[in-house]
Order: sequence, then structure tokens, then C-alpha cells
Amino acid sequence: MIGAPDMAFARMNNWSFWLLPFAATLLFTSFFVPGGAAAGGWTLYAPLSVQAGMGMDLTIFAIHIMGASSIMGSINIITTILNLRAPGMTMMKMPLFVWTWLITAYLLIAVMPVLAGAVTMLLTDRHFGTSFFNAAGGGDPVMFQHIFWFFGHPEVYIMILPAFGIVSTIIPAFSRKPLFGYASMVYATSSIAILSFMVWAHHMFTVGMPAAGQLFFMYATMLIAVPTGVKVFNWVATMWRGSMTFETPMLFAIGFIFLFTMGGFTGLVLAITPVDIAAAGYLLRRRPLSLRAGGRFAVRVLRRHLLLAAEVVRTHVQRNAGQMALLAVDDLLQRHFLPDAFPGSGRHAAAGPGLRDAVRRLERGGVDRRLRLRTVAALASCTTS
Amino acid sequence: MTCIRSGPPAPAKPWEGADTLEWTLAVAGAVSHVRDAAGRRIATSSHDLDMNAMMQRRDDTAKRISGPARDRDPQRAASRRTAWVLASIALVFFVGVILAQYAGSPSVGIAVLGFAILGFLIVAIGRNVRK
Repeated sequence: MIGAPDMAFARMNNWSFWLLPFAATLLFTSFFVPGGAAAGGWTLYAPLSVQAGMGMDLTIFAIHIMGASSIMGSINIITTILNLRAPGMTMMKMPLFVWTWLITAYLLIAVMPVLAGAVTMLLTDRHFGTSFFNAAGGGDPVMFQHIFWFFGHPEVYIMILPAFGIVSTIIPAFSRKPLFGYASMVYATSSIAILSFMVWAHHMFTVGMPAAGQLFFMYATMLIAVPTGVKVFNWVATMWRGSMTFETPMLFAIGFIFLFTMGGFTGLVLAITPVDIAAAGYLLRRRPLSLRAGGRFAVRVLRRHLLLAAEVVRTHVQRNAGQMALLAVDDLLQRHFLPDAFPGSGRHAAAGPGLRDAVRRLERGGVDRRLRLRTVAALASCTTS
Repeated sequence: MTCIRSGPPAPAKPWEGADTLEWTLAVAGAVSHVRDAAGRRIATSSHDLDMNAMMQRRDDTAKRISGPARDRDPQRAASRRTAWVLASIALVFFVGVILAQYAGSPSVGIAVLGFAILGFLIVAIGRNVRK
């Protein structure tokens, strides 16, 4: 896309890829060691992560290896984009997909070492007698949450920015129009990346913080809606009066915009601190709607587009199958995630006990019907298409 | 697509000055997704032979001037420089977050880190926008 013959560092590219299966193996191994897998949730909050068994150590090592892989990949991407562009290919002429990857790589370089530092401190707390996060030794468990989310929120954009790039490439192609507002898209993407470093504590409103901190993070979070709105506007404006054809990739791209906008709006509402405190459980569930659904749609957009471009999809039956898959995925995703929006804040304020009840029922052998239905929907949405 | 597949075969000389159809020529070097993509051109005419000789002379001169083979390409050196800068930034962030905790002033550390990242993003992207 930028006229480079290859990545700047081909061997490092290879290394960064092949580290991943090794890290994944390490992570899966943690399920089979004494004490079981890491019992600190995916956020690895202290003190659970300080007290957990050997599975946590394997998880920490896996995170280190995955971090090294991500950093190597990012260095490669940034170096390639900055140094190996074809003559005449200025930054503002690059495809938007390349821009989103450049910004994603910068984000990775900035936040992966922070996560690696946090889990390293966790490791020393567990085995070398330090007390960074161990309250018993004078440490601060809440600080782990701050550091984790300093990584965790930009990581949201690490996942979704390449999806933005894919959609920004597909929509002009099937609208037969150049992308509306290329420069504004670039600046919006950069703004989103910069703002993503300033909003981490909106994941922690219920933990408690000074009113000034709450206000800062509330307004900063709301501010992200502006560049995000610019992007959605530009996608719609690109389609406006275009000569659109509704091939499967385009349908998935439109589905992406719909799902992402819906998930994004919930973010705007939940940025309001009191609402967030009342609906804290929903915050965790909102993330999958905009991210998992959005990201998954974008990957499908790309895959369908590549299949179409390579003429693998030739027949009407294959095209119809793709469109049926879209409907199925959308339907199953909505069944999986949307119910969380409706039960009301009362249920979400009690999300903890509700979850514990469900786990107890599972332990007693009776599978909660709703849980079963949603599990089936989730699995089906993963495997469809 | 129908007209290409079912139309009449293309002539040997499709347009004035063409030696042959481009897809009947030998592949000029590796395909684009392998790492030796920018390989040596395959000569198909006397002009290309001259070009190849010229490129060989240029390579030899560069080798004499720059010493080891891996240093002779300034572009590669620039790439390595960029990579080292990025790697050092990652290392500083990694060590910095631990030192900030160790020194007992985590909020200051986080704030410094945040502004450092911000500055880095603005400067690094800004410098390249016009290039």
C-alpha cells in the first residue's frame, strides 16, 4: 500500500509472529498447573493476582512475551511506514488503513511497556518480597488498576483503529467515491489516539477518586466522541450520493458503522460519572458490543472483500451465503449483547451477586437458561461466516 | 470479465514499440511479498544489460566506500536508527513506570509518562506529515 518491497525488518517480522504461538501455549498451559489458571480476572487486579497460584506466573510470562511480540511488530510497522514509502508517497497520500496502523503501532509502543512494567512489579510482589501492590506490605492495589487502565484504554483503540482503517478503505470502494474528508479522518484518528491516554480512570469511577478527577475524566471521555463522530460522519458522507453496490463486504461495513455507533453512544452516556456508578456492570458489557462486534465485523469486511477481489466468491449462492452470514452474525451478536442494555441499572448495580448466583447454579449442575442461550449465541456468532 | 475471457487472443505485439506481452516475459525478480522483492532486474534488451552493468558498478562502489555489506544501504541504516529510537522509548517507559512506583511518587510518574507519550506522538507524527 505504500510501495515498500517488504517490511523494514523481515526477520524481526518473523520473530514477532512466531512468539505468539509460544505465548499462547504458555497461557493455555496455565490451565493445567496446580492452582489452575490465573484467578484474577482478565484485568489481573491485585490483590487476587498477588495471591493466585502458579497459573498467574505463566500468565505474566505469556504477557511479557506477547508484549515483546507486539513491540517488535510495532517497531517494524512504524519503521516501514516512515522510511520505506515509495518516492512521492507523502504521509497525507497514504491509504487510511496505513495511517490507522501507524497510529496503532505508536499506541502499542507507548502502552505495552507500561503493562509489562505492571506485571513485572506483580511478579516481584509475588516472589521477591516487594510490596508495590500488596496492601499488607504498604503497597497500593488501586495503583495497579490505574496502571492497568493506562494500558487498557488505549488498548481499546489498538483493537478498533485497524478496523476503522478497513472500513475507511471498503466504503469508498463500494460507493465509487473517494473518501470524504481524508485529512479530517487522519486528524480524527490521531486525536482519538492522543485522547485515549487521558481517560483511563473512567473505568474506575466506582473505585473512588476526588471530584476534580471524576470531572476531568468525565469530560475527557466525552471529548473522544467528537473525533469519533467526525469519522462516522465522514463514512456516511462518503456513501451519500455515491454509486453504491451492496456486496457482502459493503453490507458488513454498514453493519460495522451501525454497531459501532450504537456501542459508542453507550460510551457517551456512561461517561457521565453518576450514570456510570449506577451501571458499572454495564460498562464491562458495553466494551464487547462496540469492540468485539465492531472488530469482528471489520475482520469479516476485509475477508469478504479479499474473497471477492480474488474471485473466490463467484456464484449467487456464495454471495447469498455471505449475506445470510451477515444477518446471522448480527442477530446473534444482538442476542448476545443487547439484553444487557435493558434490565436497568438495578440489575447492574447488583451485577456481582447476580453473577455469583449464576455460578452457584452452574456449580449445582443446573445451567441457567439465559446463560446457556447467550453462550450458544456467542459460540454461533464466532463460528458463523 | 466476460470480454477478456471470451474475446479474441491478444496479438504478439499488442501496441507499437512493445517487444511482447508483459506476461510472457520472465518474472523480474521475486514477487512482491517475499523479502528479496527488489532483486536484480532481468535483462531483456541491450539497454537493460547496460542498466544492469551500471547498477553492479554502483553496488561495487558503495561496498568499497561503506565497508560491511549491511551498512552500505543508507536506507537500511536509517531504518535501524528509527528502530533503535523506538526500542529505547519502549525501554524508558518500561523502566520508568517501575521506577516511578519504586520512588513512591506514582501519580507524578504517571503524569510525566502521559505527557511524554503525548509529546512523542505529536512530534513523531508531526515531523513526518509533510514528507
